[in-house]
Amino acid sequence: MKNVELLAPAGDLERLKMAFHYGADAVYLGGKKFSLRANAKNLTNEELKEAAYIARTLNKSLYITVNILFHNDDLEGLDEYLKYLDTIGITGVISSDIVVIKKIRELNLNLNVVLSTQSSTLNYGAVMFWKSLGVKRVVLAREASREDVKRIIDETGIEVETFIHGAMCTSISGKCVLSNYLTNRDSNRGGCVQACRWCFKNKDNPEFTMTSKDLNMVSNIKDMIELGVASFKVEGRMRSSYYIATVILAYRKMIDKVMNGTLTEDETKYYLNVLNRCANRDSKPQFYNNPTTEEDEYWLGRNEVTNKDFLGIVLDYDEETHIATIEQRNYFEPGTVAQIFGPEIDTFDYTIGKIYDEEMNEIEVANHPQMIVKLEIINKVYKDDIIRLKVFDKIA
Amino acid sequence: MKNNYLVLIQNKSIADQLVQNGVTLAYPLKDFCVGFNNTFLLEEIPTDAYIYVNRVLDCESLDKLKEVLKNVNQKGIIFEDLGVIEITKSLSIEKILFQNHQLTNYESVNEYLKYVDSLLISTDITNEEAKEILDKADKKLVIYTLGYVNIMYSRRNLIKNYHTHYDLDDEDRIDLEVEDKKLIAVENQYGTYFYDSLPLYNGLDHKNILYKFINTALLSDEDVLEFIKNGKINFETNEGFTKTKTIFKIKEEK
Repeated sequence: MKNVELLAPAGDLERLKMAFHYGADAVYLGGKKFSLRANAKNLTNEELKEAAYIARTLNKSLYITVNILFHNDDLEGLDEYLKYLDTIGITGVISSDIVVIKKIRELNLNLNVVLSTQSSTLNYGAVMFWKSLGVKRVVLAREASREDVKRIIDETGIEVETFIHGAMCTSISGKCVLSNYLTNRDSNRGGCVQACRWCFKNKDNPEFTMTSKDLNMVSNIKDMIELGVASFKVEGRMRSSYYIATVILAYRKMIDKVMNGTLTEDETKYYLNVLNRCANRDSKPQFYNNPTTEEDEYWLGRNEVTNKDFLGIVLDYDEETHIATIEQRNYFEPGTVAQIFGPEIDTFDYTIGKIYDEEMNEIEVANHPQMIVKLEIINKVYKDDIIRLKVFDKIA
Repeated sequence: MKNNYLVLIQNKSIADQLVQNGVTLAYPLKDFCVGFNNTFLLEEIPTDAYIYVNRVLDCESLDKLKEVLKNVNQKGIIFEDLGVIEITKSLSIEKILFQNHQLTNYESVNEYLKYVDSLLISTDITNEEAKEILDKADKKLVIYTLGYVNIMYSRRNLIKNYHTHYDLDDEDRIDLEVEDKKLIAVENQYGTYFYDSLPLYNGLDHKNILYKFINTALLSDEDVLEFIKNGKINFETNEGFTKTKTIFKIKEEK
């Protein structure tokens, strides 16, 4: 089987580092301009340069989103931005507007173009059109079936990137201006307010939302690798470090186990539970095997409450004393049953014992966000390992 | 009395009257469109009319369209999916691209015009932006003059799913309200198409307009004929985004 790239989102440098640390082969992120998720933090030009340096140092890939649909006025500054990206050594840009490809060609830049999912590409003909313009890789529409994925790979020879995890648009991506219509914020330039998740009325009939459940491809990873998918993409540039660490590590472990033929059904179930819990949403393979049904949507009565599973992150570990320094993220106390996971350790259960402050004075609880505490952890842990509330038994 | 109206029709019974009034017609092609009550087989579409295809096509559908187009003898094709460019390379018919939300700047428009004869510029831009595109376009373009405008296209059967979930009688169209706005959703087996609740009317004129497009979906025959014959609009319309710039960063609102 040909190896597949695991591609993670990142909204800033911290999350980029986290994604690489937890096993991503590549990261995609946006700059301050020309990128969807216009209201995310995004990165300055200097930070983009640093991100490219980090990726190169780790021998990993970095893609920058230049994926808005440009209006006339937005074209100002595009040449300079693309020239800048060309100088900092990134792997490629992700775009859906043909003007980006045109500019890269005219300016004679060495930037690879990855066609964004916003281009709604579902067939070999459209792929051949883009390929003829020099596009190296296509991110297929999330509506692509297994048959579409297979035929596009077989009949076009292009690199195919597919989403494997994260939130779904109700619309075909790029074919929605509901946000523009309801709030005057342009969804195709990064202003989407996710109006499809709002409450809709239909005369005297029940109110409803059109919210899609999330996407997960856990049950199809092996099949997609065998089909020859080049890159597995995780959605979520506005997601937290905890989300990125959890999702990327789960898929990293599953991909590696598929590659060496050791992934079991129990492990698959475990990872699926972890993934669903992390996003606090159900997830499904959506269009891959069958057309979607009512089961793929959320209806009314769903209260989206963020869970408090993320207890803390390891800042340091003293192997002699077994004392770990932890930055707290959610409340915990002695007796809290947790799990610790990280890229270099097997996930293990851990019941929190005595909690100490930075001067090793015993305290009753860890109840302040980002407070620094110390815990005795016998098993060796590493910087940036994560402590989460134990919800599921780990499958050995 | 030839004019440059291009009318996408729903009812063939008014076709003769429209043609007599100098209009060019387009017909939504059966199995390759979403958002219409009526669609037409290729053999039902006159040779002097355009075929209209607005689905995002999967591989199998593109195969089927390729097969259907072996018998094409119509004037041209108006289409959404770029795969159509690939399968019509050898066909000597006019090609008009209508990627509703994508064609929003003059540089992209001119790049796409290398591969098609014309294109329909987006309804998501202001008339100021449209004028600049028309000024700078390398070929004549089509503008959306009258008709309900699409604001979302889902591959999901959202209406059917809604009816199934709540055990309601099935319908192909529902009227919706969200916040203080209204929407119309129309569905067939290929997906759900959401329209604005009022038709757009855009009186923009320019020397570089090839056609003024009129979408008759959800409009009455009488209203369409009255507009074509007498230039009168006897129903409520809106301006869409023709005069209002959209924003995309929250700080722009402050």
